Amino acid sequence: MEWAIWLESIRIAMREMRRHPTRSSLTMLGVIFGVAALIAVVSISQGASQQIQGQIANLGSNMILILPESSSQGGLRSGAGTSNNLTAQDGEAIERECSAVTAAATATRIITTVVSEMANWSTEVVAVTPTYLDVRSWPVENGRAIERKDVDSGAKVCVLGQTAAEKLFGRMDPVGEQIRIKGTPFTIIGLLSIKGQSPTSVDLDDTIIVPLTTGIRYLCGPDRPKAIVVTAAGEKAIAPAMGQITSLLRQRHQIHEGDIDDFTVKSLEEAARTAEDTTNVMTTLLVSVAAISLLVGGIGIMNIMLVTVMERTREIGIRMALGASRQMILSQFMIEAVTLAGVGGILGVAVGFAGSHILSYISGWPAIFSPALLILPLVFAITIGVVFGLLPARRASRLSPVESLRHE
Amino acid sequence: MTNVAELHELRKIYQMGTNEVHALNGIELSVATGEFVAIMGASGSGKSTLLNVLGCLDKPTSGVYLLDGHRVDQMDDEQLAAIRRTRLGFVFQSFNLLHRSTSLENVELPMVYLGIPRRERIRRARAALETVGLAQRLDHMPTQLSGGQQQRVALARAFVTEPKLLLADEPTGNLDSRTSAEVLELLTRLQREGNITMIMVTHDPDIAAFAHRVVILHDGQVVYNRPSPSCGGPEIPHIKTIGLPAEPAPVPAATQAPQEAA
Repeated sequence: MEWAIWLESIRIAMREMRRHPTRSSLTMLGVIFGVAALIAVVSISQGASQQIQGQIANLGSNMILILPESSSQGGLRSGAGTSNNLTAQDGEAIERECSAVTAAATATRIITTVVSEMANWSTEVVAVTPTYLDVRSWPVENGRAIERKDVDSGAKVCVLGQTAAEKLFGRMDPVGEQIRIKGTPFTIIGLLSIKGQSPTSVDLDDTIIVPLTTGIRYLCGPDRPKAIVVTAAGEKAIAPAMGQITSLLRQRHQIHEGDIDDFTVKSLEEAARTAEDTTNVMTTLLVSVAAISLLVGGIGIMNIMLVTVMERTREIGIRMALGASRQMILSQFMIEAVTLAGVGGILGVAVGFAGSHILSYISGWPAIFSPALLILPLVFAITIGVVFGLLPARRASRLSPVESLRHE
Repeated sequence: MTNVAELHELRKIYQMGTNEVHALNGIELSVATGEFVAIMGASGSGKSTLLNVLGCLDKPTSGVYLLDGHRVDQMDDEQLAAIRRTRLGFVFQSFNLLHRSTSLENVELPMVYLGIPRRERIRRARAALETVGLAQRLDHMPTQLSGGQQQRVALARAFVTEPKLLLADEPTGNLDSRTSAEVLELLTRLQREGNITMIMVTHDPDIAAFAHRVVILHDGQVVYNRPSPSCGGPEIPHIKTIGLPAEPAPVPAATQAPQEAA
């Protein structure tokens, strides 16, 4: 096929579109909405997925959580996390003996009122062993973290999260100041960096960290259930680490073969994967709906092209008489269909891009765009044009020249 | 002089329900290079069918059609399209201009299918429109032109590719007598100056008299084939007197074509 014929066909297609503005725009509308919906859905679900990933990573990378199972006293079971069978020694043993684990920390927490010279604030106080902040990947911004000597000596020191610091001291630097927790004075030795929100929208910065020994002595007593947080030696080490922890703790807690564990080992990656799976299911569903609307747009194009071929039968006859082969007529109508779909696709990309931004702005969901996200729907739209343009174009190309010339 | 078109034993049979209609019933005809042949005949004599076959728009059922040395009767659709764009030109009774394209675009169209670059297309289309006296109407739509002007655009379109054979189907059938004379004069002048072979279907003996030769069809056969009076031939017999018994009266020209091929 000659280049001139392609150019001519594109020119004819553009002219036809201009001569029937209402019809063309209505035809393209289906494609525009389909492409726009596709872009909006994918950009926003990619944003959501990235947000979830970010929040999971924020909790601590490759983190494993060990919680006590329910306590049972005389057959009365009190629910998960209520027994006090996890100890700081368990945590140390895990760190020492499990090869797939790089660090383990023991922690317990209470909610209590804290008083500074300026204000009082009800917040979470977490009593921890020194590795806790490492496991949470949570650096200190100012001052220093809880160290082994603080835990060994039961020092009355604490590290503040940003929200707690702000509530208690305003904009003042709290390091070196004193606060009272349950009446006991603590010296502030450090200020944590900002951590943000958890996947369940809890403000992680609203917290105060104290040494585990100090916390047990002054704040919550020895019977408070504890949890152990562990960092695995990498993403691949998570599963082996969980196995090692389980067998070590069963051994330490003298659980007989066949009896159930008195603790639970959970991986945050698992939670992340679950969240991701949910997002993926939603995305797949919404993308299917958008794709179907694009398909309906394609059917609209086919419908209009069939009408066009009917209307222009005589034109087709004239073109054939002047030397157009069936192949050339086919190409001409294919190009018209593809032009409709392509222009619709470009407008759809624009609408989808703008729409996602507006939706993102209104809802607060982040929207993420990749070059592929702007190009693939366009390619999809053009493919739709090819597929649904084929039937009308074939019909046009198979007309008999004699019959078409006679057509009114 | 070589022959541009040669027909031997050419037949075209249509199936009308259970009936077979022999539209062309063994046509024998040769047309020499540069010759102008008028084809006459009553309604239903096979004129239009013959013109469609000559124009490679329709395929004969059997027989031989040699066009410019090619066995056209054995070609497929794609080859026929190539023959139409390289060797044939058409002028129709109803002009058959693309009514949503300008004069210039209409004249360009056959060159588009020849793959001629746009610049050259425009140059040649302009020149052709100047030749037919429409240099001032390049950007007019057919609806903005009179019948005579439209047919002149069609002439420019037919001649611009310098065809071997030009087929004209009642080219003045939709025009008043004064315009008819003008268009006919232009047509014969272009034919003569370009040394282009032309076959014209007409029912009007006055128009047929412009041709070198007159061929009359009856029941799908050539029943008369002689030089026209202007080339020393005898008076053209009235088509009614050909092939007795008498046929129905001729149908007005405007409605003739569709009924004929049916």
